[in-house]
Amino acid sequence: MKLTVPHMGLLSSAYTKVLREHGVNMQPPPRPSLTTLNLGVRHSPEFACLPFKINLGNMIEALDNGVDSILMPGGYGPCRFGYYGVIQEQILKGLGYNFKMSTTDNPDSLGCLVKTIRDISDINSKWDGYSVFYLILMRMALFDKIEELYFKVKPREINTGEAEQAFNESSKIIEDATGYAKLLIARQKVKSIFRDVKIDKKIKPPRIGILGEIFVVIEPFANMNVERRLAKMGVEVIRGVWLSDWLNDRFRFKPFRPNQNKLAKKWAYPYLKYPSGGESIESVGKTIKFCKEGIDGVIHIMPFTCMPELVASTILQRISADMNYPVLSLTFDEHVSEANLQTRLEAFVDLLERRKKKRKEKRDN
Amino acid sequence: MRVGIPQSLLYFKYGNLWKKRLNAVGAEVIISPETTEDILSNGINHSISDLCLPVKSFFGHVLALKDDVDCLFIPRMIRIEPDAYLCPKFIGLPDMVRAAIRNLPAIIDTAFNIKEQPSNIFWHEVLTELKKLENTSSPDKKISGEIANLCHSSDEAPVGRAGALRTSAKKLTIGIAGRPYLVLDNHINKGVLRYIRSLGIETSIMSSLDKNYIADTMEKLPKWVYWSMGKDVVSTVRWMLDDNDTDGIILLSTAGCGPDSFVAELIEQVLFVEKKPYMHLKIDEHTSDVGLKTRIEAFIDMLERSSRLKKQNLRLGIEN
Repeated sequence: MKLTVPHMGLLSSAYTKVLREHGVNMQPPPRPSLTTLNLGVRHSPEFACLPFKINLGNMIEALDNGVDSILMPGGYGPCRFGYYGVIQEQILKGLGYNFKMSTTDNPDSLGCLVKTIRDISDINSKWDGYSVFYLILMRMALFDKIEELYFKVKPREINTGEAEQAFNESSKIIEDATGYAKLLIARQKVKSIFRDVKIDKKIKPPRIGILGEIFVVIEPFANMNVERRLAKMGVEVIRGVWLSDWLNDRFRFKPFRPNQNKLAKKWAYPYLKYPSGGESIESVGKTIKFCKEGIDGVIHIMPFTCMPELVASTILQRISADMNYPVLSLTFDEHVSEANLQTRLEAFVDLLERRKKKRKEKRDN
Repeated sequence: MRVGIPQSLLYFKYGNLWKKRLNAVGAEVIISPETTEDILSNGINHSISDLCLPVKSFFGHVLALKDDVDCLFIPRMIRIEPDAYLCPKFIGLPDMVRAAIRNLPAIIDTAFNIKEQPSNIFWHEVLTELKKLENTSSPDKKISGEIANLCHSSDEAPVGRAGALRTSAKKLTIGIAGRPYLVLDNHINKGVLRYIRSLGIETSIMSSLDKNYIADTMEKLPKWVYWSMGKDVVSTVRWMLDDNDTDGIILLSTAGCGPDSFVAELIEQVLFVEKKPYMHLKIDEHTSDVGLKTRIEAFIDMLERSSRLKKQNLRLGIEN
């Protein structure tokens, strides 16, 4: 069995090596690129959301490379994600591919996910299954940690490129840490790598919160590398949606990190009184929280026609007006225009810097 | 107490039920007028561009209604059956209305979630809200607390056998499938049904679908559809494919409709629509009348040819 799972941010780096060491012949597809997108768009329904199209493109690339099994998480709505695997399987079989599709239909259920791992690997005991699953979760958390450190360090770095170097080095170390002991050592190592990056502590970069639908936030190709572009412009990116948070809310492997979803529900009231699926409640709730914490602005990222994020986006416009808080809504689909995006980002950062200056002048007077 | 219900979205499915219940407790129910170009463009001006057309129209109806009523009835419809949702925009509808439109009267946004609580609790909560509001608004009507009697009867739309509404079965008939707020709103659907009838073709729409038929349809799919209206659409198309009096099927959907983007694909992949002439029309506010008319005329040409061929084959004794 040659197994593939479509990419979603750094998730494949979290599980690939671990599962390979347990007898799974994992063949991740190439990282999403324009080729992926074009393949996906050609064979997807016109108004399917962007993550669907990118996933489909990845699946086609993997199948063309000889993969014979695909694992695709499922769900029960209300957003469309739970139905991806069903439609993708029909499309691929219609194209003549021969493969087995498994969907873990209940990604909220620990037992269901652990069973999936045991089914595909050579892990026999339930205990080992849980152990490997939690190892993967903690690796994912560490990958998220180095992204967070990168965003803190990049706008302040003295020698251009050092932050990228630190990130790449740390990535490699985490990938190789396929056991709990190695992971503990890796954690200390990556923290010290980032501590060693020379930064100018006097710089106070504008801080921008990034919120929105989880796939397009954490998959850099889907959002045309918005976060790295901002970081290169000297902005400190504060991401509000992390895959490790989504996983931690369900599987509690970071006991000191509170349930982000529950907090978002409190913060979002009364603008959004009930979660509308996806990350809608986080988009609204965390925007309000970021505003109160003094973060300079929020960029809200969503795929075109994403239903929960449309609800959030409508409400964010009102929040922006009511609280006099800059919110930029970016919608992504298969039409890629770098110039458009770069211009809008530069304009937004300009706006934030002008506001900061004004506030500073007011204070000094 | 004047309660306003926008003539949009779920009004086309539950409007009569809501009117009955609200009238029964002493509220005066005011419905917004049928969709017009003004209502629609007002709604569009208050929406972000990616929203689907029916929701934009809903905003327009709220704007047309808000100054003439004491409160608006916009329940938060989460689940109307235990194993499916409504589209997320229904779940967040009252919050979107509050965000997009200013100077609103009170909104009754009680949550309807059949998985969490039965419908009579929902109506008790609505009644409580109405009573609270009555203390601060015009004392024209008195809200009374006799809703318990009404709640004994079934809350669902009449459960009939699958049946379509049509006037005569002699002419060629096109079955129109789609969400009720699109199929029944003649402004949003760009007058598609009227145009088809003007060309001498009959149209039929689904009035009610038997729950067992819907459940049976779900069994035939690789995974059941977890949007309630999506379930209805798939089951309607299946029914029309098997109905001898339906000669062709048009699926009407809105460009940018989330559930329909997958449901339409599922229909084409799984339901063997090659049995009959089938067309999927996607509509939004930019759709040109000319483009629609051309497609409809071409479709009807195909229908008439196919029907002539069938009759010819019958005469010649050829199997279809």
